[in-house]
Amino acid sequence: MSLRGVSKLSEIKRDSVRGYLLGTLGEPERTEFEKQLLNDDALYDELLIHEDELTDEYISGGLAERERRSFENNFLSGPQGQEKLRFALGLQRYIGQANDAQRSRVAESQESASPIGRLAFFPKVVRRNPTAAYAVAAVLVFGFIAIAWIAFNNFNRRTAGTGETVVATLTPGSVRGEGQTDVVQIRPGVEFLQLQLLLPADEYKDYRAEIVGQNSSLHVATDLKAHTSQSGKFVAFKVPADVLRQDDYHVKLAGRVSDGEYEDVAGYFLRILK
Amino acid sequence: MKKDWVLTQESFETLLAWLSPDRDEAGKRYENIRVRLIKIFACRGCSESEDLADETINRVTRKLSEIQDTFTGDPALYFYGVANKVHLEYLRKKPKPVPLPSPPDPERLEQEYACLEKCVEQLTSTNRTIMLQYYREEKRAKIEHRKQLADQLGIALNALRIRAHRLRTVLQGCVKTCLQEATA
Repeated sequence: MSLRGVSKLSEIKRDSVRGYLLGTLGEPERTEFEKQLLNDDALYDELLIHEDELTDEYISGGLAERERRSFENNFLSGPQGQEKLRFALGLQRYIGQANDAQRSRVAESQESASPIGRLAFFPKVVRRNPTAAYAVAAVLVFGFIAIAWIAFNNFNRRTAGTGETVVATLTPGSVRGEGQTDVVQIRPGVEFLQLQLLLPADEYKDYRAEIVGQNSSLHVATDLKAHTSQSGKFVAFKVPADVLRQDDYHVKLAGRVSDGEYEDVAGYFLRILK
Repeated sequence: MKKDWVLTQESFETLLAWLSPDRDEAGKRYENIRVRLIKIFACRGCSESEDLADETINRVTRKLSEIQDTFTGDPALYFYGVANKVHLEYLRKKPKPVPLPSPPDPERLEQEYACLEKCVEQLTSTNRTIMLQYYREEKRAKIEHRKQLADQLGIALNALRIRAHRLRTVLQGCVKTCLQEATA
């Protein structure tokens, strides 16, 4: 593609592009925009760029409710939009994993530069005093097992629910609309619904998920940690089935930033059938 | 909608000649008009945007013998007028709701992801770094980070934006080809 003269496009035109894709332009403006689009290469290229940017915003939950609905009903409802959406999800996952790997490398290099990281002295100790070294190793192994056991129990406690549980995996940005939402059937006797929210990228220490129905918050789960499955990273939490009646719900996922506040990460749409 | 009329090579040549006396230029104009009509129909929420664009082109071509001697002005705008009629007819037919995208098949997602990894590896190391850096942060941090990246590369922020989009388009095309090869 050529991207002819996009840099010369005025801010006013850029706003029009966004408005056009979100369906917020009035009829005369829309007509004028489309006529111009047929001959203006820069405007057409800007439209393509905005499609990518709005798709990213949509996935990360950055669009307002009205904007999101409009974007879904227009651009995202066609095969081109769906293809862009799938690609954007994959790209976010790739970037997230690449950044995780980079962070790990940085952490490792910092660790090796720190006093703790200098535990490379351990082989020397072994050479000098094997008994002491094995004692230290035993303590470390025991400590690790204890921490893992506590962590495991904490996780179990958080997600505890001994009754029958239905598990549903939700994809970020699943399109809302008739039948375009992830649908979960809750049969009689089911006591818990475990939601697994696929993450576009794992960039936060922990997460908070909120189930919203008819503009009111129904359930909030905090301190959610990312886990890894074949489909990518996800967070999971359980919600008592009786909290949810047959209806459509919006699940908002937010990530905790370093100052203790949360920022939006993704949105998911869920339809409960009972 | 009359869909029985078929575009022949002869009528197509007439259409090209109407768009420009230079055949190469006419070919470019034709392609530009077609992709933009597809985009316009897609942005209006039409599920069969390509069919509607082709129907528009067929109708214009069919009318050419009547209008080409008298028509003055920009041919693209004539296409636009016909496209609006085609769209109105499409709406009157009360099109069936768009087939709902089936929930993402995990296997298909994994295949797409494997293709994406392969395609990213094919980028030059500079382009790979730009991709990773450009999309890495969120919200305000992202804006600041992109400014820094543009400074490092010695280009304007908008030039960086265009470059990232171009890379993304290349990657998306590569993933599409990779998937087609995988399923062939």
